[in-house]
Amino acid sequence: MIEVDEVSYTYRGSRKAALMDVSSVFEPSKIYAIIGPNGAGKSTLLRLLNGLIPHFYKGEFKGKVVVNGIDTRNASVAELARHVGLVFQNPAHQIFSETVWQEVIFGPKNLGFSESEMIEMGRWALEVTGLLTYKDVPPWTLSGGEMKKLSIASVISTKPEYIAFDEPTIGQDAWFKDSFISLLNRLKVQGHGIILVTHDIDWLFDLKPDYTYLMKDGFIVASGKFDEIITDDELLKSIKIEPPLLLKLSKLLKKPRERRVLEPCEIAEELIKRAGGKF
Amino acid sequence: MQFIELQEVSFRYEGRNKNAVTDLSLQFREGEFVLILGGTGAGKSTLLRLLNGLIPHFYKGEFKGKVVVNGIDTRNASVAELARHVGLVFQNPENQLVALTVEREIAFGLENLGLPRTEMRKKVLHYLNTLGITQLKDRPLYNISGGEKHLVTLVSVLVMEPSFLVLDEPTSELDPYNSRVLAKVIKDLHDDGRTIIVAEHRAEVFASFATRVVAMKEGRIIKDGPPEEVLFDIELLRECRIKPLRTAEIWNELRKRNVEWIRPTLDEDLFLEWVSGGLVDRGR
Repeated sequence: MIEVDEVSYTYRGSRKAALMDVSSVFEPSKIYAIIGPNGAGKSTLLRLLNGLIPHFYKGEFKGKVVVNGIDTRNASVAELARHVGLVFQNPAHQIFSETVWQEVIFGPKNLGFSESEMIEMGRWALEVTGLLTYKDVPPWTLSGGEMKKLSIASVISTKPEYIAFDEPTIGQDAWFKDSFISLLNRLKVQGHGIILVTHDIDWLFDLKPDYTYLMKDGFIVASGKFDEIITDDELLKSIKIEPPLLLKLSKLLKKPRERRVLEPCEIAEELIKRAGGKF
Repeated sequence: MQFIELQEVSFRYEGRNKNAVTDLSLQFREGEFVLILGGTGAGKSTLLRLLNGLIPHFYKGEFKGKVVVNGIDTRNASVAELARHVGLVFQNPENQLVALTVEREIAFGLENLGLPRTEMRKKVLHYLNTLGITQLKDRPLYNISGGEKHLVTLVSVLVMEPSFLVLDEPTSELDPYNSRVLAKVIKDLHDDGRTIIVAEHRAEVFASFATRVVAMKEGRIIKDGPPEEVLFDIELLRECRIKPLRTAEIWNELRKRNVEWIRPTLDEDLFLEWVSGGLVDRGR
């Protein structure tokens, strides 16, 4: 389990706190979404989980973060990397090896796994991301989507229990987004806790995360089931998110108390029922 | 009449063994709002680079066919010359911003044209005002937000007053709010009479503004037509790695259930109006 306990954080040189009294819990085998406008503190929260804060970023840190029983202040980033992997928004910031294979085994190698374990981990990571055929090519020849997948593969290759993603769908096409949902669900079933920071609300409708945190101005302003958070008009308005069409239609077509977002096929069924065959 | 014409254009980047685009033949005409859709690697950016001469002048490779911009063969004109006709806004503003302050950045292109100082300032202010960002004029570029950077890049292209405004995934790195702001700005520019060509992998951002949609896959044009015609074809869109509009998905579900509709609309607001006006009360 990861526990963030009343954490406040101010980056050095900044006058405003990036996080204010943030408390949250992340468990294995669950998918968490963290949503909110730019500057809400979402990326800062991710940096707490693998110890980048307070070890790499300097600033004023209050409260505590405990990862599988370890207080992050008392462990190194390398040690914490065994528990929490972080995939950055821009894969170019992360990839530096000569071949896809070297990139993907870099983590296991660094953490001191044996040769056979390393090979097993690297193969698994490339297989689940669909990159096994690119094993021997230089990363810079990959397309944007493939590069993104490589950055994911090179983080999950060490099999950290928790995997955090910062805006994973930005700049990615529909095909990537669909296959990424299958990958996340596969990781979840295998016991990994998934933490996603994203603006892509429409994509979350397809992913259906288990739990959602909504952040604004450094605070967690709401948390709960995705459908409950996303059907709250006032909350959405407060973070400048226009409710997506499926949500508006669900509200129009459903019984008022039912807080669930309908699928396109359910909406079609409901429209037919109401129109009585007359279109 | 201003136009851009591509005649059987193919291009392969140096060092690659596959064409980025193959046999492209199409025309862009004055007053259009063309939405070019396609997934990663479909050839959208390459198509845009052909329009302002970045290909073949800046990017090297094997170029076949011909691109004619307002009567000029792009092979016979410099990129600077073509910039008066075609203004290209890149996906990532960082690739385009060079000066220290917003005003200097926007004046950069005009300085290169050798325009008198007073006229230059007038133009810069006019376009800052058009996009509603006059307050950014004296700010240093490193101190403005990502959304603002996109607007500044757009102004720096607009001041050149090109006949064609070409944008490469202008909203892909913006949050939903800033995406809507930028999309609205681009729509207003079209309403003011500018010709817009925009490449996107998301259909929803510009779907209701476009007058024409071109779907691309693996360097080829798969479909080119009025928005309704292309955007209702959800099988084709999926094949092109484009997520169909939610409205199109719902119409498709209705069609699967043998429901014939009278006036299908892809516009979300009109769709909602239709549902709430005609159907909701009957069910209650």
